[in-house]
Amino acid sequence: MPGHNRRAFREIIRRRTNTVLVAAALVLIWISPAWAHKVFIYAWVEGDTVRVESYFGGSKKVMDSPVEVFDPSGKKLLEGRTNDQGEFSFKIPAQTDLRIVVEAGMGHRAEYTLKEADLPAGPTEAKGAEPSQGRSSEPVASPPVKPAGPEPAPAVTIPSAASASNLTADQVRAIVEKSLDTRLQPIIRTLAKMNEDHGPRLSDIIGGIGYIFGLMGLVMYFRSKRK
Amino acid sequence: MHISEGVLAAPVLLVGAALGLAGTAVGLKKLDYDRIPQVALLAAASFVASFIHVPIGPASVHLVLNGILGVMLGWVAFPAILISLFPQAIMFQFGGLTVLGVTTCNMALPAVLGYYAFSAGIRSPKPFVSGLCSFLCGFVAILLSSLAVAGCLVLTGGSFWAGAKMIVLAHIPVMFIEGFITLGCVRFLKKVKPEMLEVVYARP
Repeated sequence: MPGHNRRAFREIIRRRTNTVLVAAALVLIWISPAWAHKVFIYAWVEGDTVRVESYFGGSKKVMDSPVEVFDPSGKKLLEGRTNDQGEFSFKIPAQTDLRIVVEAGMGHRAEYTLKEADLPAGPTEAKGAEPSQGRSSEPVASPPVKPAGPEPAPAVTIPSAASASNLTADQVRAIVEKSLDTRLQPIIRTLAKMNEDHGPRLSDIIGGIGYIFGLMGLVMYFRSKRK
Repeated sequence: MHISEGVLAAPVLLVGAALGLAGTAVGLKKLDYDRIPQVALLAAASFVASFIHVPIGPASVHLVLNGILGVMLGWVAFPAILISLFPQAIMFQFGGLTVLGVTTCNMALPAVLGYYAFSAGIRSPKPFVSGLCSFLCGFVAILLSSLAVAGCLVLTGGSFWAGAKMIVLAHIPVMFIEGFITLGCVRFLKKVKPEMLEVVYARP
């Protein structure tokens, strides 16, 4: 039997080399780093808008797919569809954890929870606490300067500066927030992506193979002890 | 072939888990312990195959190799597929632990059916009959698997009809590819190591 096998094997090697090579090449072509069947979704906040982006592993966008947003109690807050860039955005509907679910079809779905802490403070809370404090401190600080200054020039400039900052306290805040958003957006994106995106790496695959053969070894070990 | 967690309805998940458990029990009972290395090899092959994705057709899908597992393992395909799905479920969330039973059934039941339907033909000494049967075994296994996945979605809710149709269509290229892979493997084994197939035939 072994002799026959060896002869047959050599014959196959001789006759089928081309077939085997072609098959191997085809298989290698199919091995690509795109992992088709995982859907990624991430969301970040820009001003009062939540932006959602969704894609299949390997950067294929999830286009025109339904997106639903839920609050922690499971109540649906809003729904929509991704555009052809796999993006979807909506105004923050409530100051709470937002669970964003995308249905990518064919049994694929993914979700991302945007924590309440990641949302900017709501307009009502913001006006109640910080801006009023800021506004009150400035006028209080500037009037004492005015009578103390003997010369008229600084007395004129200081109130004008104070009134200017007084006028724009909210606007300055808005401008700063806006530019911070645009500046930080790539970083926030990357962070959100890193949080979610870890497709299988070669080490994972090799680890999986190792686990299967490890199981085999374990079973064989216990069998051999029993004999 | 993987269905994400949270898509399927609870009854579908429970039935899938029960069937998967039963199939695995049958498979383990039929398992000849001398064949454990062969089972592990095929489980590893099926594990790696699920990373080989086929960029042909409307969606990208991946190889499954359940036809070959069926031909070579029969019922033992159940434990082999379960073992190869487990690390995918916990490491990569390709489907999760809750859908493990359903996915095992979707992949292993067609393997077992293919085994019963085609093993006699594959054993045939006529190369044409044997080749045709091994091609069909790989082809039909994927066809049935995609139908099973589609069925699970339809059972969960009518709104999945379009997705279900899409799954079957997307797997048509995979059916042909796996048909040829199974054909190649059987021919190769028949020439090189026929006893690897014979063991299965001796102990179904």
